[in-house]
Amino acid sequence: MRALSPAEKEAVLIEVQSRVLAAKDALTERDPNFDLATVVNDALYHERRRLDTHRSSPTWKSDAAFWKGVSKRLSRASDRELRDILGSVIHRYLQEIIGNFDPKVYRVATKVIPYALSGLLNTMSPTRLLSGFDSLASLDDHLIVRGELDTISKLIEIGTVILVPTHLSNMDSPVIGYSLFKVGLPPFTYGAGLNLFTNPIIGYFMHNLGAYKVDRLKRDDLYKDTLKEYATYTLEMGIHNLFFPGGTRSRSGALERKLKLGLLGTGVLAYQNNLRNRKKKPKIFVVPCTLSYSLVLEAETLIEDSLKEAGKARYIITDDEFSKPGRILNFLRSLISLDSRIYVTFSEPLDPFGNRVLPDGTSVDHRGRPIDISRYVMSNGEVHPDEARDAEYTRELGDAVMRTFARDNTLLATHLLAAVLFQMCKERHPKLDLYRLLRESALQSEGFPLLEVHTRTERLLAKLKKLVKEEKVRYGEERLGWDAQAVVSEGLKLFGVYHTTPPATRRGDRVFPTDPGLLLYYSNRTLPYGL
Amino acid sequence: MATRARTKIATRPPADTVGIVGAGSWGTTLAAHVAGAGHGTILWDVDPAVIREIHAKHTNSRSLPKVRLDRAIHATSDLGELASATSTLVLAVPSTAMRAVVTALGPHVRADHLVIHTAKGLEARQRRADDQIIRDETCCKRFGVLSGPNLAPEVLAQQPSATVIASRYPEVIETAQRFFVRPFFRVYGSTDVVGVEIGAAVKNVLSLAMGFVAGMGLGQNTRSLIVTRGLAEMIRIGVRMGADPATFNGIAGIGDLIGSGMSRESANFAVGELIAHGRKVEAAMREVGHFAEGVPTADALHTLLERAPVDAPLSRGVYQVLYQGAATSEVLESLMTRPPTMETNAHPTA
Ligand SMILES: NC(=O)c1ccc[n+]([C@@H]2O[C@H](COP(=O)([O-])OP(=O)(O)OC[C@H]3O[C@@H](n4cnc5c(N)ncnc54)[C@H](O)[C@@H]3O)[C@@H](O)[C@H]2O)c1
Repeated sequence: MRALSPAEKEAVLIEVQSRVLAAKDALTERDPNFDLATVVNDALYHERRRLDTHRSSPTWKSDAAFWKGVSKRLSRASDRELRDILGSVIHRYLQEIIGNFDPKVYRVATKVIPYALSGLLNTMSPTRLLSGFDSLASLDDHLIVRGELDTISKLIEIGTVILVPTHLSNMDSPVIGYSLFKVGLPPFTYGAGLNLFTNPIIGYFMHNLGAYKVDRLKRDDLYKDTLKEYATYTLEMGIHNLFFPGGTRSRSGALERKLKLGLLGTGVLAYQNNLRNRKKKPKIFVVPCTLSYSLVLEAETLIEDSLKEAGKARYIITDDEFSKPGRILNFLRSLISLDSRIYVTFSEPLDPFGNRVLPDGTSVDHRGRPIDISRYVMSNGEVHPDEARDAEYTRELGDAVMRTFARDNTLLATHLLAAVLFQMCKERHPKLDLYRLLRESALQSEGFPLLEVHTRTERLLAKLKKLVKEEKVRYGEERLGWDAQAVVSEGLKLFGVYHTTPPATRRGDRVFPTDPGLLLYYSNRTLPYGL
Repeated sequence: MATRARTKIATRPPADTVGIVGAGSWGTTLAAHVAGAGHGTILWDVDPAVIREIHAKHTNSRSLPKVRLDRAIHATSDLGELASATSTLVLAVPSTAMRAVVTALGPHVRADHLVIHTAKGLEARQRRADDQIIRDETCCKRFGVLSGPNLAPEVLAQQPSATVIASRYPEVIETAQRFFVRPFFRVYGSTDVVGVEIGAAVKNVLSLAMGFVAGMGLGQNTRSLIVTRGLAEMIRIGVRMGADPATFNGIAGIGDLIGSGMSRESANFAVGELIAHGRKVEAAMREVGHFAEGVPTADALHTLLERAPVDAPLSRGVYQVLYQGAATSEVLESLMTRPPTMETNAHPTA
């Protein structure tokens, strides 16, 4: 990726701004019920609401002043002025989004990360806590990066790549960033929530990682359109992008079952723009990526949120374990000291239509025959735009991504043990609804016989082995083999080290579901497989 | 023959030409219908004799005896030729042939092809709807299904009729409307592909049941019982598969059920009637002279319902008659003597 000069950056801003404006103009022409005033008013309305409810925002003052100005100008704006106002709103959004994005800094920063990470560990903790091993080397050993790495390194030369990972934790982006570095892939740009930039620890990386800023509190369509157009344009510039297609961290611990198609749809848009502009490397490749953790840093907060009554769940959570340095440290320490691993699996790439892609960049159908994909969007030699069609293509892509997630998801001892124990809880209280089940299970004093836990784990492993053989899922505990006792004891060990209340605890020859909510959380990772 | 076909085929641009796969009674009718509106039309069939006859005599005596076909209808035995001369393909073969035909077609399909199938059944072993076969075997994304109460002879006679084109792609709906709308033929759009496919498949199974009832000499009360409870069953099955229940109140649901489902013109109905008279399934089909798609579909549906249980007593009854040697009277009796229940909301999925 080549570095952008400040002048080029300004050019990006102007290009994206004019595209968003042009799209609104086109809509005005096509749809008599659409007008620019509505767009600006909608943005004004949503921004005022945001400013009313989030007074602690660091840019509160200048935002408030800006929108006050807009409101004043709006009341007596001519059509021409209206367009100017719209332009200025888009401009302001873009300035925030693009922020510090500077590919040069970005590239340097990724080289620095591993050292910074190790520094992070050392500054946060008294050295004695980590004594006995080199923290960087250990962390590195615990990160297993696998999958279609060769294919991806070829594809980044042939076209532009969108990386779409599963999302469990705020650790995901640094973990992926580091994984890319580890296997010699270039850095990817991505949109990170504003709250991450203000996080004491991770903010440092964010600023330097070439992340652009996404304010998920901004709810107006104009903002979303601007963001989408920005991402599309960076793809056209050949900048590899990372999106979490699930939108936010999985609250329940389950794999993504619904994807945000808006951002995924940038692929088919950028591809069409590239064709229209006769770019030399027009293709866009979508690479799904699955992350598996034995323990998830924010599991307690996330599952609690997912169990809240409908309507009370939070879209954005900022006060979780991730904002507490002590928890992060504790988490990393557990990870290293217990020889647990984080798996990052890069899957077979797809095209923006959901077809498989070969290492040479050719899309193929289910029978392996090459497809001339330009024909999905062109007729009579012309690119033929069609929003409804593209939305369907993107839905196909989303389905393919979710199938890939399920296939390349790596199951670990904690997931399997949780699945067994949660099932046993359900069988003990077959009539209870979920909430009462969780309460009763936590209270029960007799627990489950370890022997039965073993037997059931053995059965589950047998089923899993078959699925792994059929390449329907991956298994991450190869070093334990398919030994049920080893899997159970590994799971219990991990459950005992990090969480405030262990999901399950062994006492003598019995196992107690001490935090059934967390058991549910970890067992949800096994949902697609009917284990 | 191929040379002649090629020169003729090139006379219209692919965008204004429909390729029809299967020169059976429906495929040939559709070809006549499209050609009659002035669009390019090419027919393909697995049987070279049919193709030769269409070329030489402009007739298809196997499927539409005594009908003179428009001279503008071209015919070919070469799927590659068919695909390259068109950008819209219509698959007018029954579900039992769908996998084989689409597999042969697969290598010739381009990303710009729109594919529409007209089958009213489910694939037996795979328990797959036909759109899934198109996905499996071709690179086509933009496909749809055309279905409705459209008895071929009546459409050919230009009697007012309607049909539904279901697709998630507006382009497919618009294209089908462009080719098929005629002053006597209305084409409604829908986005509910699953609903239209399930409606068509279940209708063919219920059409057999309707034939049983007619063959047993029963009257209108019993027929409307089958239609109404059959519709309820169709909706339950459809909803379980992800369809929109409203679809079944339309042309491809109740419309097809009371149309082709109750008519002796329908092979399924006619075969059902003969079975009730005591004929074996094979013999009944031979006597009717047309394949009854409801027969394999009843089997496929049975397997499907085992995997995704839905209360479907009529479909089960048809299956018992066709595949387990039960007598129609026996099955009807056991249906009638089930415990009384509420008419609506009384059928929780098991
Ligand atoms: N006939 C109608 O009135 C009508 C109306 C609407 C929909 N449909 C549906 O259209 C489809 C076709 O119906 P039809 O009445 O034309 O049937 P048909 O039996 O008259 O014709 C079937 C066609 O499929 C071909 N075929 C059969 N098996 C094949 C195989 N293994 N390989 C290749 N080709 C094969 C035959 O050669 C023939 O061309 C059915 O699914 C039917 O439900 C029919």
